[in-house]
Amino acid sequence: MAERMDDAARRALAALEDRLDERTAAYLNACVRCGLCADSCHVFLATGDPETIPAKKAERVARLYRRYHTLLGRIAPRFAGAEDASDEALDALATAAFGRCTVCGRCALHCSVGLDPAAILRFARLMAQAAGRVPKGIQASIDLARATGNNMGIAREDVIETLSWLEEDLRDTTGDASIQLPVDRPGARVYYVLNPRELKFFPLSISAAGMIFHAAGENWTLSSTDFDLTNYGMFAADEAAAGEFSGRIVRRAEELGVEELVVAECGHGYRALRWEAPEWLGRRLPFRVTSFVEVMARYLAEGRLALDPSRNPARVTLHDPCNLVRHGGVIEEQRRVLRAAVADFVEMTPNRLDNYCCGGGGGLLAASEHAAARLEAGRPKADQIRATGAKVVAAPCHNCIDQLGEINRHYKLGVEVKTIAEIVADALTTGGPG
Amino acid sequence: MPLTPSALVLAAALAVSAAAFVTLRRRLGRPLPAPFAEPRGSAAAGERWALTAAFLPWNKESSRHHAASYAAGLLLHTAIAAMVARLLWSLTGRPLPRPLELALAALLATGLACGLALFAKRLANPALRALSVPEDYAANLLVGAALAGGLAACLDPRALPAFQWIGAALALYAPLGKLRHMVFLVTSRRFWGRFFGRRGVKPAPPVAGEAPRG
Amino acid sequence: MPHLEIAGRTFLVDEEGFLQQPDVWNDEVAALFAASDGVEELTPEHWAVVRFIRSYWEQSGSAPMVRLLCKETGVNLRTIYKLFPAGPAKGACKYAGLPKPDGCV
Repeated sequence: MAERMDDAARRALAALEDRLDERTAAYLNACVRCGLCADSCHVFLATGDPETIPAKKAERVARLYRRYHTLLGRIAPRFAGAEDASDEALDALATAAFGRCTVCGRCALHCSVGLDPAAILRFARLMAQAAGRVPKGIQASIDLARATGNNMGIAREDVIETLSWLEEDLRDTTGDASIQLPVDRPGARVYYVLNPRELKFFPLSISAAGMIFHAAGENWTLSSTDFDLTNYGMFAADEAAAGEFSGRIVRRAEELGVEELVVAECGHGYRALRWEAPEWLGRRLPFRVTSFVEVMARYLAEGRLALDPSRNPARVTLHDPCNLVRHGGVIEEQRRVLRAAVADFVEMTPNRLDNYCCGGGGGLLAASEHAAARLEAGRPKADQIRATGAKVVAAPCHNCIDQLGEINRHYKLGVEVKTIAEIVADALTTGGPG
Repeated sequence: MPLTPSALVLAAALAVSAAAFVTLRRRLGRPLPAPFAEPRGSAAAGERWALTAAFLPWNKESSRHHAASYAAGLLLHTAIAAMVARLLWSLTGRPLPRPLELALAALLATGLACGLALFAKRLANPALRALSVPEDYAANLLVGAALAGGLAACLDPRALPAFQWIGAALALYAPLGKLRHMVFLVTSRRFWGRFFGRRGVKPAPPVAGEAPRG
Repeated sequence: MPHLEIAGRTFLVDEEGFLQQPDVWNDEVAALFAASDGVEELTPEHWAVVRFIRSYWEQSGSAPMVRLLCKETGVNLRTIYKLFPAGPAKGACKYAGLPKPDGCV
C-alpha cells in the first residue's frame, strides 16, 4: 500500500460508524458462530478451508465491529474476538469479501439462526472499498464505465455498426427481411439493455433476443449509448458509482417513455436495476423492470411464441444465477421457458433457491488476483453439471456463462453453455431459422 | 414473603439487562428507509415465515444436514427458556408443584447435556475451533452453570439462592457478548424475512401445477 | 506476478494467464499459448484472427469488436467460437498476447 495505513483504517472505520444499517447490525449481533453455515457455501465445499466458512468471513467485519462498537470488545478484545483495524485485518477483510465470497446468499437461506451472512459480506465490501481495497479489475471496469458509458469502452458507432451487422445476418439466416434490431427508437414499449460483452464478443444472444421480440410482435428498442446493464459499482459496494450507472439507464428509459425496461440475461444487472436502483436513486421508477427470462415466459403464456422443442434434442440442464434467483425472486420462469423449448430438460441437484453459485459471481470474474480460487470454487457446480449428464447448460446470466465456460474446460465437462434466449431462438417455428 | 438478598439482586440485574438491551436495539445502526422498489412478494409473509416455519428442521439445509447439532441446539434453547422461566418464578418466592419441578429438572439436565455436547463439539471440530473466539466457550459455560443451578434448585430448594446469583450474573452478562443473540435473533429474522419476502424468495412462491414448497 | 512455463520457456503473465510482456510476443509465443490452452494446431484461419487482433491492439490499445474481427478476417462468427473454444477474449486475445479485457470476461 502506497498510502499510509492509518488513513485507510480511518476510512474503513468511518464507514462502519456512518454506513452500518440496523439490519446488517442485527445480523452482526445475532451470529453465534455455530458453524452450521459452512457446507452451505460452495467455496467451503470446494476448499474445506475454515477461513471460507460464511460465519468466519462475516467475522472479518464482526471483529472490527466488536472492537469499536461494543463494550466487551473495547475492554477485553482478545476474549471477545475483537480486533484492531490493522493493515492485516483490512487485507483479510478484503480477501474474504472479494476473493472468497461471491455474495451469492446461499448461506443466508440456510443460516440456522436466521441471519444473512451475505449482507454482512456486502458490508465488508463497503468497508474494503472505503479502505481502497477493491480488486483492480473491478475498479478498472468501474472507471471505464464512468469514462465511456459502458464497462468495455465500446464506442457508439461500434454499437450501431455491430447491431446493423447482426440485423443483416439475422435477415440472411432467417430469410425474414422484416426482422429488426431497432436502435434509439422513440415510442417503443420496451427498452432492452445488454451486457457489453454481448456486443463486443458474444453477439448471438442479441440476435436471439431480436428473433424472440420479432416473433412476439414486440415494439422494442435498444440504445446506442445507454445500453450497459452491468453495474460493477454494486460489486464494489460503491453506491455513488452504482447509482450513476443505473441512473443513466433510468433517465434514458424516462426519455424514451417506455413502459418496460427489460434486462438481458444477467443476474447482477437484473438485481441492480430491478431491486437496488430505486434505493440508490431514492425514488420509485415510473416503468416496470423485468428480466428477459420473465418476458419470454410471459410471451409463452400469452401464446405469442410458437416453439418446437424437438429442435433442441440434446439434454439441457439449468444453472440458477444467484442474483436472479436468491436475490431476485425469478425462480420458475426460466423452467417454464426451457420445458417449452427443449426436448429433454433435467434439473441440477440442488436447484432453484438452493443452487450453488458458479463460483464467478459477485464480480469475482473481474478480480484476476483471485482467479485460481475462483476456478477451485467452481468445483461443486462442475460436479452438479456432470451428474445431470446434460450436453447443454442453460444459464440466464452472462457472468455465470463466462465462469461456466471456464469450469467446462477446466473440469472437462464437455458441455455447451448458452443463454436461454439462444435456446428459445433455436426452437422458434415462427420467425425462426426453419 | 420478603425478598431475599439474592432475589433482590436478581431482580435488579434483570432490570439492568432489559434496559441494556433496549439501548442496544436503539443504537443498532442507521435506520433503514422504506424501500422504493416494487415488491414481488410479501414482506409480511416473509417475516411470518422467518419467525415460524423457518424453524422447522426440514426447511433449512443446515438443520437437514446437521440434525444432531440442530436438535441439541433446540433442546439447549428450550431448556434455557425453561430455566429463565424458573428464574423469574423464583422471584415470586412460591414453590412449584413437585412433579413440575421434577419435569423441569429433567429438561434442564437434558439441556445441560446438550450444551456440554456442543461445547465439546466446538473444541473437537477443527473448523469450528477455527471459527470460535474465547467468549464462545465462556458463554457456553456460563449458560451451563445457570442450567446446573436451575437443575439443583429444582431438586433442592436450598440451592435457590445460588441459582439466583448465577442468574443475576447471566442477566448482566447477556447484553455484553454473544448471548445478545437472544434478542437479536428475533430482530434478525424479522429483517431477513422482510427482505426475502419482499423479493418473492421466501416463503417460496407457489408453482403453477406443482405442490407448494416450504 | 505469476509465471507461466511452456515448453521450457517462462513468461510473465497475470493470474489468468494473460501475457504481461507485450514485447516478447511473436508467432512462436502465440502457438505456445494456444497449445498450452489445448489448441494444438493453428490453422490459417486461427492465424488470421490472432494477427488481426494483435495489429488492432498495437494500433488502438484495445481488443477489436467481434464484428470487425469477422469482417476483416473473413472468418464467420460461429467459426470463431469453434476455432477458439475459450472464446474471442479468453482464447484469441490471450494467444495474441493482449492483457485481459475489462468487463464480464
